[in-house]
Amino acid sequence: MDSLNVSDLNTAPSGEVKPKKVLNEKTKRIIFYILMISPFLAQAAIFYIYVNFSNVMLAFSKYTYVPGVGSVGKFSWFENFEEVLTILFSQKNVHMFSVSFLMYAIIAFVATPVSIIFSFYVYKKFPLSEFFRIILFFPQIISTVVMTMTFRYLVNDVYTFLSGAKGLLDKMNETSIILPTLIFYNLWMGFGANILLASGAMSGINESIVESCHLDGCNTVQEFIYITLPSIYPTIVTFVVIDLAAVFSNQMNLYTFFQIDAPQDIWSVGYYIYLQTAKSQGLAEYGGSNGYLLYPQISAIGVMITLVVLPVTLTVRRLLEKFGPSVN
Amino acid sequence: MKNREKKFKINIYAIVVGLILAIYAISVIGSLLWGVLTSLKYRTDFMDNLLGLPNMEIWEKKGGNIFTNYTSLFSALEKDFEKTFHQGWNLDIPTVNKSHVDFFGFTLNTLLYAGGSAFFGALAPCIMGYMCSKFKYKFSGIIYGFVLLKMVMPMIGNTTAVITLMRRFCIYDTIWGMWIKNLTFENTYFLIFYAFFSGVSDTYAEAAQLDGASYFRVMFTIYIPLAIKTFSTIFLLQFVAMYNDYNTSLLYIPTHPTLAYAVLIFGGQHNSGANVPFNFAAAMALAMPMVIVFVIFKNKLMGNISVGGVKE
Repeated sequence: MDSLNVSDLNTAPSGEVKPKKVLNEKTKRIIFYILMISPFLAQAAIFYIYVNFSNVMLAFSKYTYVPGVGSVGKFSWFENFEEVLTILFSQKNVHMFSVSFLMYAIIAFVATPVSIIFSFYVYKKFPLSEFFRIILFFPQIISTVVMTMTFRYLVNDVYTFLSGAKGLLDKMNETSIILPTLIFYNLWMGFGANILLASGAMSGINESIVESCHLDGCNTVQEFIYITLPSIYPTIVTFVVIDLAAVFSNQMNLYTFFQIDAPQDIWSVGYYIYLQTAKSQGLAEYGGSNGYLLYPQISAIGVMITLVVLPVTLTVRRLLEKFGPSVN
Repeated sequence: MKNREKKFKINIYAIVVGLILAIYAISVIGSLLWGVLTSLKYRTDFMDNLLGLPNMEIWEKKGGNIFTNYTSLFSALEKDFEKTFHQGWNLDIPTVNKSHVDFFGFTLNTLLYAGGSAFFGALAPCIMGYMCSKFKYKFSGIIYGFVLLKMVMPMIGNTTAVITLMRRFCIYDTIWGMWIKNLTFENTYFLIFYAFFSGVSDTYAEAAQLDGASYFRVMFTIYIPLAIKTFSTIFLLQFVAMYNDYNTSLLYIPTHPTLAYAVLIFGGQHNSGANVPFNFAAAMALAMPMVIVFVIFKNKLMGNISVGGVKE
C-alpha cells in the first residue's frame, strides 16, 4: 500500500488493527471552533476593547512629535480634562449643552410619541396605511445629504422668493429662527426607523386581547392607551434609552447643513466633537495647534461624556423597566 | 367581510392622524419632486424660475436638453483630494495621500466601500451567530454576554482612538481598512442570526457528518445557505446605510471619497456662483439607485422587525 487515506481506514476489514487517528472528533470540533471565531474575536479585541482602552489612555496623554522617533506620548494626568472642561464651559460654548438637551427633549416628548401614534395608524390598517408606511420610511432610503440639500434650498431660496424675508436657515438670520427650523427638519426626517420598530412590535400584540377590549366597549383611543401602549412598552423603553445614549453625540445634521460654518449659537455637543475630529489636520491632530482641539482632548471629552451618560442611561433603563405599565 | 369592515372603520382618530400623514406625505414627495425639477433646469433658469417647470427654450438656445446636467456629471463631477497624516506604530511615517476622483471614481469607491463593508458586516454576525448557537461551549455563552453588554454600554467619542489605531496599523485611508473595521459581530444582527440558527435542527449536521462532511462543509453548504434570506436582508440594510453615509468618507477614507461625500461638497456650495441645478442632478443621481433598490426590495428593507419585544 503506497498511501493510506481516510476511506481506506473506514473500510478496513474487521479484526484488522486500524491506525490510530491523529485527532479525535472532540479535538477537531474544538479546533474548528477556535479557527472560525478567532478572526472575529481578534477584530472585536482590537476595534472595541483596545480602542476604548486606547481612548482612555489618549485622554490622559500629551503628545509631542520627535523627528525620527514619531509622536511620543507622556502621561499627563488630568491636564486634557481640565483644558476641555474650561473650553466646554466657557461663556461661548456652554450653550451647546442646552441645545443638545433641547433636541433630546423634543425627540423624547414629541418625536417618539408622534411616531408611536403614526405607527398605530399603520398597525390598525387605516386608509392608505401602507402608502404612509412607505413614505415615512422613504427618508431613510434617501441619503441625508440629498434631503438636507433639498430642504435647505426650499427654506432659503424658495422661502425668500415667496415671502421676501431672509431664509430660515440663512446663517445671517436669528438663532430663534434657525434653531427651530433645524429641529423641525430633524423631526420631519426622523420618523422612519421608529415607525418600523413600533409597528413591528404592535403586530406582535395578541389579537384576542384587542378583541376582548372591543367586546368591553373600547374605542380606538382607549385601545391605544390601555392595550397598545402597555404592550409595546419594552420597545418604547428602547427608544428612550437609545436616544438618551445619543444625547451628546447627536450632531443634529448641523455638519450636513453648514459643514464647518454653522452659527455658533446653534452648535450641539455632538456637532462640536464631530467638527473638531473632522477638521484637525496632520501633526496638529496630536500635538500641534491649528485652532482645533487635539485628538487627546477630544478623547477626554468622550471619556467624560461616557462617564456621565453610561450610568444615567443604565439607571433610566432600569427604572423604566421596573416601573413600567402592565397590560393587566 | 368582518375583516374588511374592521380594516376600514373610520373614526376621528383615523381622520386626524390620516390628515397629518397626508400633509407629511405631500411634503416629502413635493420636496423630492421639486429637487428633480430643479435638476432639469439650466443654471440661470433656476434663479429666475424657482418653482416652475424647466424652460426648454433656454436649453435649446444653449444647445442642451433637460438631461444635460445629468450627462455632464460624467465629465464635470471631479475633484482633487489630499490628506496629510502620520502613520506607523509610532505615528512616525509622514504620509501625504492624494487622489483625483471623477464620477466613476466616486461610484467605484462607493461600491467598494458600501458593498464590501456591508458584506463583511453581515458575514461576521452570521458566522459568529452560527458558531455560538451550534457549538454550545461555555465560551459561546461568554461571547453572547459580551454582545449584550456592548449593546447596553454606549461608548462615546472614541473616533479619534479608532483613527489613531488605523494609522498605527497603516490601514487608515484605505477601503480594505474599512472592511476590517466593519468586520464586527457585536450587534443586533448577531442576535438575529443566533436566534435563526438556534431554530434550525441539528439533524442536518448529523446526517451530513455521517456522510463524511467536515464541520466547515456543514456550515458553508448547509446552514449558511439556509440563512441566505436573513443574510441578504442584513446586507441590504447595511449597504443602503453605507451608500448614503458621508461621515465615514470624511473621517476614515478622505482620499477615497464616496458619492454621498461628493454631493455634500458640491451641494454645500450654497453661494451665488454655485450651479444649483447641476448639484441637484448629482444629488438625484445619488438618490436614484436607492429608490430603485427600495422599489425592488421594499419588503426586505421594511420587513417586520422589532426591538424590546412585546409584553404578554
